[in-house]
Amino acid sequence: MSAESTTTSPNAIPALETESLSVRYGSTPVVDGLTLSVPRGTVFALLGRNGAGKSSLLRVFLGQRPAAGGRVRLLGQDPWTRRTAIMARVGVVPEEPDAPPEMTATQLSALCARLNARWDAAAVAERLRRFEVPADRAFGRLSKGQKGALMLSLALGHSPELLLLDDPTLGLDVVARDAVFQEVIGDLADRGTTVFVSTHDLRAIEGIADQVAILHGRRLALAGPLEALKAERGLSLEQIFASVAGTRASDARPGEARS
Amino acid sequence: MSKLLAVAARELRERWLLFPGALAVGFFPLVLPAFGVERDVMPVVGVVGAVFFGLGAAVVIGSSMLARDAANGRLGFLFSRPVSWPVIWGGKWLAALVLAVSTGLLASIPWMVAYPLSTVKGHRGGSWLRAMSDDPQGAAFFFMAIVLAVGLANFGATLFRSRSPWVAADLVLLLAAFWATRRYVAPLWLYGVLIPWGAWSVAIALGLLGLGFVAGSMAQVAVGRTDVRRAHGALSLGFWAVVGLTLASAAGYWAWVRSAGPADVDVHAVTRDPVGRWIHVEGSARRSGYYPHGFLIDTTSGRYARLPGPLLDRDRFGVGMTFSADGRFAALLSSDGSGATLALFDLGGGAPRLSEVALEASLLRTDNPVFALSPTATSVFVAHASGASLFALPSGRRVATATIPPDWRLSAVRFRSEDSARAWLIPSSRGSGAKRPGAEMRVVDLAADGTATTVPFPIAGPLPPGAWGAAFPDASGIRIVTVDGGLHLRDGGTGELRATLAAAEGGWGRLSVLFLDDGRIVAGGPSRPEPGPPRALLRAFDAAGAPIGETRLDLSPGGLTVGPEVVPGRVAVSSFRAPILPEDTLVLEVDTLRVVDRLSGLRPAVGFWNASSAVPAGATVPRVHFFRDGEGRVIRVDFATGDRKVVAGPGAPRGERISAGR
Amino acid sequence: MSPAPGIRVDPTLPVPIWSQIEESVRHLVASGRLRPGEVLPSVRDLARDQRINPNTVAKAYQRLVEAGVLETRRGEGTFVAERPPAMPPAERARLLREGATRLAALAANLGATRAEAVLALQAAWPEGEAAAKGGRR
Repeated sequence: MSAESTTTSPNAIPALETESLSVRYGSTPVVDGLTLSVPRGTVFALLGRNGAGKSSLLRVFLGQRPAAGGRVRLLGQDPWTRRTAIMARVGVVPEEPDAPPEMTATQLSALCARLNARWDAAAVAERLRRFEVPADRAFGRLSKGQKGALMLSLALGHSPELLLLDDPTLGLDVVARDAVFQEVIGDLADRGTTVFVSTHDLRAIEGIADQVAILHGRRLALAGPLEALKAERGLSLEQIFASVAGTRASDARPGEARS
Repeated sequence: MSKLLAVAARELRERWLLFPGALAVGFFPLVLPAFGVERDVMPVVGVVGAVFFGLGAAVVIGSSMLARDAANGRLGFLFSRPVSWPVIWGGKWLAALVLAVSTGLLASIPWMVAYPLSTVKGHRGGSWLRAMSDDPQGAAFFFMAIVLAVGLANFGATLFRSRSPWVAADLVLLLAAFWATRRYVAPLWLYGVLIPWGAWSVAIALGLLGLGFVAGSMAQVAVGRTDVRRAHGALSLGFWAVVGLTLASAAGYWAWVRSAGPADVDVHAVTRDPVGRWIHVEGSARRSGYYPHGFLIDTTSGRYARLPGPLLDRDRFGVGMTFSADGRFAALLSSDGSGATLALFDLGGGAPRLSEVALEASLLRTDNPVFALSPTATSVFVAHASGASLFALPSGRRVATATIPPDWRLSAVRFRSEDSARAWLIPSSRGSGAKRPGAEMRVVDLAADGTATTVPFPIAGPLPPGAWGAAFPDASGIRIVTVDGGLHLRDGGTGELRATLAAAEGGWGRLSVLFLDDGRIVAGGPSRPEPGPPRALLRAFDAAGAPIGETRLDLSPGGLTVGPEVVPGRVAVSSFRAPILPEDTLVLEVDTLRVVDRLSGLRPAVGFWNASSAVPAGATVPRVHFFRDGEGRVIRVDFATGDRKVVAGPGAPRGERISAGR
Repeated sequence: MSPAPGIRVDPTLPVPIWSQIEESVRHLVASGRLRPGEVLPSVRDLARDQRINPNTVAKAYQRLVEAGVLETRRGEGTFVAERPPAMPPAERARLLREGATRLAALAANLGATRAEAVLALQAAWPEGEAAAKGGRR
């Protein structure tokens, strides 16, 4: 799993990879010794209760905060030092929509066109139409679902290799949630995008995730291919999650810490 | 570049309302006259309004572009895209500067159009545009103010939003910075070190402060990124690093300034002790602008003490240091608003020891500064607001006082003995050339037992203008020569005429009179031969006042000065055409009135106005005398051996520095 | 975006999704609701429609193609195979031969000629097809 090797073909390098990663929020540690690997072209779901941990972790993945310990590689490179280059190949949908509230969808697409080397404005407009997001209303005046849809459209506009979603269904009704994931699936099917989703909404990702990892306390309580885990236990994802998250980290059997 | 402009454009678009707002403010000066406000004031109102609007806009954007955007997540929008931190930082700062400058300009347009510069009183025409382009300093200052406003607003907003313990560190560092500024930077400014830099020193100081904000905000974006707390930490580190370096440099510079020694200064003023060992030197060094370095130099060993800084804090009594006749003590008089203090240096031991004596006196007379130490420094004579007094040392207690009316001045003072001092008063002159026939002079005697007597006596003619040059007493004040429409030898205590040395002459320039140790009198000054320009004339008289002889001298007649007596029977005579043109000093044998030596380019260092070059009664005439050349040096000449050495100024040897302890 | 007729998936079941798809397709083909030559929804469409991972759909389709239930035509999509074989050709040949051998043996026992046997086979053909269609699971 040496991500720096230049003789390895690009597709062998995991889209996201961490090794004993530790993350702090202020002075409080929120993640300790996290080791995971997201193969290209897969859908990886990081599950866990809602808290500061997952969002801080994503900020570290995106090179917006430094790691407190361990290593993280995004598309094979250190995101803290190579952020600008990497973000050209990564799309991000944050938990809180962060677009400037006074700009319309059209203006935002134009802004992103200037911030990115390549931008498919037509595809973005088509997505917005599909989502029924008005193109000329200020971002701040859109509904939550429309904002999320717009953020997703903007995240896909530069055809990223990796799509990072932080709790994309928070506060959305079922219809909006389905629309979001349909869009993600479509993109994934068209281009083989790697998708990393951090969420606590199990129903949403159950059919979609190739791999899951369950974050409990500060550590990974369980990780592995979803189908295999379900077959092994004969349980649904919800049941697996409850069994793991319901127990304390110290009660987890040794074999479950890593897959 | 396109990304940077995109970032900047977005910032501007968010705050677009400030542009019409600026225009509206620009219309105020057009509306106000309708409410009765005077029209002539409107351009001032306009300028003030425009400047404040621009600064206000700077604060508005400065406080939100990084701090608020980090706190509400909007900075994440940019950081999640392939935009590098210099582009983010640069785009936002560019927007801030553009916003502030352009709104300031917008807020100027309406009233500049309505009140053309030609209609404003005091301007000879031209246009506002021309006036602004002719004043690049004003524009630069406005721009710097904007940068500071943006930087300070950003710092404050980041501080406020981070809610992190760093705030305490910032406050501590702020206090430390204030302390360091007061201790190291303020003296540079207050004591004239930076004066040659003029307005640049202010510009550089503000520029460095601005640099601190800029560097701090760069660190904030590069390292803090989307996390407000980390951003605050990075901002503080960047800012305080720059400010700390600046203050450390200032402190280093201040230390370097104060490390100058006598060899580093151009001497402005020098006073000497009567025995030829210690001198007090004041001058400026190239490294320190107009900072007045002061040293007490032991010219026999080259060791020197720097005068302590606190003496600079108070108003210097423009007199210089006075030495006691025995050469053991030196004193500086200064006032600090609440009274007078004598800084007394004991030169007896290895290093000068300073003690400060508060004198029981009211404010000192700055128009007529006179003070003198008794021969062994047990008392001091000081002229002050209401008169003159004798103070005992080291207690500072006033022992005797004489009232001096405000229209009288002190012309000279001598200590007759350890316990009594004698001073001569002349009427105050208004303008040049006070001719008051029938006027009088007064003699004031003060004794340590408290007695004070004033004896008036009539004088024969008009006195020269100014306080000095009217009366020349001998070393113990027993006899005096007055320059009152002629040269008259009088009794020092009663003013009774003993002899007329010279009849009235139409004089210009000054006369200079010296009593030799053996009682003879030498007088010099300009004289006008029948045809031709005035020339310098030297005359000698015996102790009774009978003429011995006279001779003309090859010196400028106007500034002739007789003295000191370099060895018994020989006097130095010097003159000056202008302060900066060095002239030679002649040494004459009084017996023969012949020039026996010529010190080219040197003038005797006689110090300040009231310094007496007369040898105190009872002391032997010193053979060592000090001279100044035209290049800021002080040269010690030993007339017994002929040795000369530079003791201060360029080329002086670096002596050992000793400290003037307490 | 045409919804797949009857392909339904429940992600919460313990059965792997690709397996559910495969079963569903086989059932639809066997029940005739999907006719030979009919086009199946694209991987993309089915994935979107069912909110499942396209890789999973692709895997299921792949297995069905290998099993001969479906066939891909480049550029056109995935279709139900014209004659979806129940078994590999070799096995099929063997079972046919066995069945034919039994018929031949029966005819010999009854003293019928080959022509009679063939006539009987032809007459029985429609009935046999109907029985096969109903009997398939």
